[in-house]
Amino acid sequence: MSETDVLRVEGTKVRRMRNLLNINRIFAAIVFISGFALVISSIDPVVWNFQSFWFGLKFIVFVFELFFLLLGYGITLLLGYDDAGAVALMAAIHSAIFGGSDTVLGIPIQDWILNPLQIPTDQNIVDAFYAFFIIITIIIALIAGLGFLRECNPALSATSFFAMNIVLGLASLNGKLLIELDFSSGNIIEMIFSKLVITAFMIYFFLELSFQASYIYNVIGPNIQRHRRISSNINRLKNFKMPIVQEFKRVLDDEEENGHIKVKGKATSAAMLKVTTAFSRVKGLVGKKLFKISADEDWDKMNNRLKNFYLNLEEDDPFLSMSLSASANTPSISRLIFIISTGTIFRIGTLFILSWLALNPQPILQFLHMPDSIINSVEAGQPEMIMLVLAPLAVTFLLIGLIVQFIQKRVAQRMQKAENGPAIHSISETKEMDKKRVRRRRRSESLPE
Amino acid sequence: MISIGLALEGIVPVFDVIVLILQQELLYSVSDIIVLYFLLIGILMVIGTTFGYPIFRIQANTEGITVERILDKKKSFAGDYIYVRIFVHNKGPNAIDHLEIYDAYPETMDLVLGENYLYTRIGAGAKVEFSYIVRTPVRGLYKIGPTKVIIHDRLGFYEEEKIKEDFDEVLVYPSYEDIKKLKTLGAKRQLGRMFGIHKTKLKGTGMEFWGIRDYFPEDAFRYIDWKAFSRTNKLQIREFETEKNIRVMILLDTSQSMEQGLIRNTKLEFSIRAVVLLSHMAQERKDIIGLATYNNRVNTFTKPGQGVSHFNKIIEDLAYVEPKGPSNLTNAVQELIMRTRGRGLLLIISDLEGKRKDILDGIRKASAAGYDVIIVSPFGPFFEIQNTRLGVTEKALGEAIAEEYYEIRRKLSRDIQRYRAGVISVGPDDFLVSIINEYIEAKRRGIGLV
Repeated sequence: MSETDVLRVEGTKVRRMRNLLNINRIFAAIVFISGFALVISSIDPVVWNFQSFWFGLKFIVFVFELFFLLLGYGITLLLGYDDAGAVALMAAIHSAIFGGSDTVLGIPIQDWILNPLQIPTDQNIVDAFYAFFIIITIIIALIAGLGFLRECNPALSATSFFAMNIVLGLASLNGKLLIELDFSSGNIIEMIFSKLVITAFMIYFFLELSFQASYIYNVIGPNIQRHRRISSNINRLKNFKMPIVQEFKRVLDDEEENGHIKVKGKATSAAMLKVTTAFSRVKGLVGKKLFKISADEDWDKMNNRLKNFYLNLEEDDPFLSMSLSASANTPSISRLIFIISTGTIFRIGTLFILSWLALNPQPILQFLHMPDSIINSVEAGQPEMIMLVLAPLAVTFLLIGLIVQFIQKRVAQRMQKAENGPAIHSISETKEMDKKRVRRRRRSESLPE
Repeated sequence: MISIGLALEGIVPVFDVIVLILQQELLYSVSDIIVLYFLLIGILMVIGTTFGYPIFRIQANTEGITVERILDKKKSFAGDYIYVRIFVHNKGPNAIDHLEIYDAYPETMDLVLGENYLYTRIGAGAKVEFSYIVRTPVRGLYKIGPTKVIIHDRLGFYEEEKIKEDFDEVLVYPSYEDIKKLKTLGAKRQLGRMFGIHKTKLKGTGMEFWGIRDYFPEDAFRYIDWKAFSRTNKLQIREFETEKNIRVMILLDTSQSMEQGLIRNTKLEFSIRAVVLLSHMAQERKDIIGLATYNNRVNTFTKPGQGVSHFNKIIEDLAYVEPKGPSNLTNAVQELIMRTRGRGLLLIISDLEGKRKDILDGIRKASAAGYDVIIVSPFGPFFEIQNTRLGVTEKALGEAIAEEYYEIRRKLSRDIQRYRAGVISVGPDDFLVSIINEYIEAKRRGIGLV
């Protein structure tokens, strides 16, 4: 196979890797946008008010002002002022420093100082406060999500996932969540089409898909970078030419000039040590560039040797560049798509069923032959009971995994015993093999035809 | 503990404030919906991270992965390259979605092309291959390996790691660069460019005609040129060239202290370069040369001999040398005397950092046994204080140590000279030159003539 053919095969494989990576990104982008849209639509549009956002921002700034006022108030009291005097003084200092009137956010400074914890009862301030944090968090979720789509870093997708959940939590605390409980316990179909479940699944699915994308990126990304890096190195190596004036010659000429080749030249350190004032000589040697790096550090010569070595190898193996860049190991794109899609469908399906079981523990309780009083109890649908079912369910999976691991380790230990320690292919072993080969050749040569 | 206590003390009021804020009724109201939502998210996360575990465990069978390493050669010279190919075979019944393979190579080697790791997916029964090229800058016996195999699940939740204890030994001979350099120098000499460096041949009892000179009473009658006498009526002597072959025994110190110096340029590495060069020169000039390496006893011994195969034997011995143990010159000399019959020039290459008594006893014994002893000694500070990254204080300390060290060396040299032995302290710059000079000088003076 010619060099052009090898390059073509390599190019095709790398292109396929890039395509797969991009397909995966598109999927992750679709899921992220869906999840993000669901979160936005689940929150009262009143929240998306930038006036509230600025009001909230002002409030955050005001917290620092408040801190200043309280601190100043305390100090003025210590200095011997009474309440009215201290408040008046702080109000004056506040207007001198921050400017404006005696009110902050429409509330008199006197109220802020004397009863600060009563202020947040004002509903406008509470809403603004929530709006500020919700908007900030949703922006973080958006940036992290977009960052993930660009870099395939799972830490960014996890940030986006948590940020979206925090947004929903904040909206709920502020009473601005528009999702309703639209499925009854026990009905799996209703549960699947519930907005609450879809939102939760979509956000979680984005997290899972991001890990999938990260997997593909980890498997394929380094191979693409490696291919790029090593191909460029090989190209540079192939085009390398030794400089016309050889370094080797220059070193020799230097030595001639310095007299290092001379017999018993006085420039040697041995000669220097014979001098009585050797102390100062030793001192002088420290700063000088007395020591040459060994000749094998000559880069041009090293590159030239490497080039010859590479070209010799390439004569025997035309696919050498593919082996060095590991581009032959690209997984099949169709196979990978099949595996990922089936795996994801299987996971999502299983997760639906298992989460339905966890949310409706009655079938499990029946399976465990619990008394009717427990199965039909109102408490069976409560979070505490769900947790009681969920914990053993999770532990069961871990237990099965550990049992499998234990069995595998036992088998491996037995196999290792049979192997009898680490395998070392020693030089003497090679020598023996060479000797045997020579002996065999001699024997075959001595045999009559 | 005090700081932790103070920190806790400081945190308490913060909690008080939080409790106070949470007590404000209008601040929050937790609905059943959000509880259910987070419960569902929690369920998904817990089940999502655990239910794949048994499947991963069944698939992640590292025993089913076999790794085979093939080297293009197992012996090379320092500065050469080795091509390493790794073949990974999944013999297990399951595909592995995310496989990482790392093949370890010695730290002293340089990875010059390719990578020594691979991330890939491998199907059941499938094989993958990757390769890399390493440079072997320093001589020695090395092991390439082991190989680390890591299996991940697709989501990166679990991993299984296994180290395959499979090693390939590689023997790196000392560099051939100095010999090449010497050959170039020889070529120059032939061109007459380095007039005066090459020593003339010595007159003696050989076959090549040298010249005619007047007879002196101490000359033997058999060298009188009777034809010239009949012609000129003056007694004249015919002189011939002689090729003197000498016997050189090298005693190389391989104790731990010889390891000092910059990595790849230690005292031992320079000493080995010097031995290689000297052996090559001796082989070219048909001299007899032997080598013994020692620390507290003789480790390797190559009896004096000549020829290419003998030179190769010396090179192989040098490749295996490893700096370890204390130095004991007395033991080494004693053993050497027992093993060799013919005496000659004994070239000891040692940093003389053993016990003073052992060093002096060893030299005394060697001189008494009939050896002409020359010690070429790498002077420790010359190999160590060259680091330009040292600060002013470190440099000053280095100088102080070097001066003290020099004083000890001066006293030792004086004592050694009492036994008719010469000591030459060398640094990295003049190591090779000094050795060559001593060899040429010994040849000129006819020390250890065969």
